[in-house]
Amino acid sequence: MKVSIDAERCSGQGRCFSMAPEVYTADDEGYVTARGETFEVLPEHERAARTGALNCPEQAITVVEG
Amino acid sequence: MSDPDVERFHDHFDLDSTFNDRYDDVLSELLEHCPVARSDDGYAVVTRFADVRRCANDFELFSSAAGGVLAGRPEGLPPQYPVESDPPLHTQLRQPLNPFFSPVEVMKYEDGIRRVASSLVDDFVGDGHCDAVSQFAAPFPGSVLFSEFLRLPDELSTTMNEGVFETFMGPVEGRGAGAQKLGQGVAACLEVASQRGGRDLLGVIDQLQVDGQPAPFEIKAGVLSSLIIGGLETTSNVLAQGLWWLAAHPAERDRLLADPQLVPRAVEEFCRVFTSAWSLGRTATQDTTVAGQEVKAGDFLLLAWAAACRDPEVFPKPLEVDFQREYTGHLAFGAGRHRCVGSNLARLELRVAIEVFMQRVPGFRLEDGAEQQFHTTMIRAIDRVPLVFDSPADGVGR
Repeated sequence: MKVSIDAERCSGQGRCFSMAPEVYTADDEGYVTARGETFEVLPEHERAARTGALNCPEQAITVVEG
Repeated sequence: MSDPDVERFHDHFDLDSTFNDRYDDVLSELLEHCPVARSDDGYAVVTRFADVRRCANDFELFSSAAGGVLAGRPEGLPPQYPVESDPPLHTQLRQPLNPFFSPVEVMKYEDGIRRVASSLVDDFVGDGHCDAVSQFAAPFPGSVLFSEFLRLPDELSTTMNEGVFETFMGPVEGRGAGAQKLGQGVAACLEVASQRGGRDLLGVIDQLQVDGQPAPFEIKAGVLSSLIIGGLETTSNVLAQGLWWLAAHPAERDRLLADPQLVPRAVEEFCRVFTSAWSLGRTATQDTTVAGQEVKAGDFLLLAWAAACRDPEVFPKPLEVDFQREYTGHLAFGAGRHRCVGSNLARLELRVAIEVFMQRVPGFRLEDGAEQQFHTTMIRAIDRVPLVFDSPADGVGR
C-alpha cells in the first residue's frame, strides 16, 4: 500500500499524525513531514494509514491499495 | 411518522423556537428526507456528510468572503478574519496562526489548562452542588485562552472574560455594552502585543501582513475576535453537554475514570453528538448543484456540521455516544481551509476538563427534576447543568 499527501490541500491540521503516529509524523511547523510525498506503508500499518487518510479534514491523503 | 411541525423545515427552515425545541428531530428529518432545506429568507441548509464536506472543501465554488458565514448576522458585528475571507487573503492570515495550534504545540499548555480547570473546581467543590455551565464550562476556555495562551495581563484577561460573558451569555439587554467592552478589549490586546513585541501568538497577530504590507487594524482585530468567538462558547457547550451526559450515565463515567485512554474517545463523541457551531455559511460563486438540487450563483448555503455529524450513512445509531466507535473523521470542527484552527486546543481542553471534573467532583449527578434547556443561534448552547455531589472532606482530591 502507498500513501500520497497533496501539499496543496494539506493545511496542517495534524489529524493524520495525531491518529496514526506510526505512519505520519509532524515537522517543526506542525505539518505532516511527508507533505507532497508518496511513500510505501508497512503491511502492519495499513489500517493506521487508512485511519489517518479518513480523518484528514482536507482529504489531502490518498491511499493506493496494493 | 409524519409530523407537520418538523416537515415544515423542508421548505420553511427557520432558526425559530421550534428549531430550538425540536433540534434533534429537525436534523434527523432533514437528513432522511431533505438534504437541501430552504428558508423563507432564501438561504439553503445542506445536511448530509458527503455534501457538507464537498462544499467545505471547494472554497472556490463556495466562498466565505462574499456573504460572510453567519445567517442572521448580528448587527454591527465587524467582519471576522480569516473566517470570512477566501484564499489568497485567507492563506496569508491563516498560515501564521497554524503552528501555534498544532497537536504538538498545544500540549505545552496541558499543565496550565489543568490548573485553570482545577481552580474553577476549588470554588464550588465544597458546596455539594453547582451549575456546571456558569461555574465551570463557561469560564474555563476563556481563562485558558486569555491567561495561558495569549498571556494577557490579569486585569485585561478579566475584562476580556467579562466582555465575552456579557456579549454571549449574559442577559440580552447587556449584550450591546458587552460587545463594546469586548471591542475595546481586543484593541487593548493588540496594544499590549505591539508594546511587548515578540513572536508569540498575540505578537504574530499584531504583526500580520497582507500582500507584504502590515495588516490594517480591522483585520488584526477580526482575527483576534474570531479566536475568541470561535474558541470559547463552542468549547464551553461541548463540555457542558458532555458533563450532563456523564452525570446521566454514571456507569460510562466510571468506565472513563477506570480507563483514561477512553477520555479522548469520549471527547470525539461529545464533539460529534453535541456539536456547538451547528452550521456556518458559504455563498455559491457559480450556478451548481448540491445533492441534486439547483443552487444559483449568489445563493447562501448553511453547511450544517451538526447534521453531517449525525448522518446515519456515516455514523450508525448517530445519537448514541459510543466510546468504541471507529474514528472515521467527523465534521464538528468543519472541513477544508476554514476548518477550526483551534481544534487541537479544544480537544486538549475538553480532555483535561473532563479528567479534572471527574477526579475532583466524584459521584456528580443531575439535580432532581433537571431538564435540558437550550438556546440556538449559530451555536447550540445548553443553559444550565445543575449538579449535586458529596462534598469531599477538606483536602480530599486536591
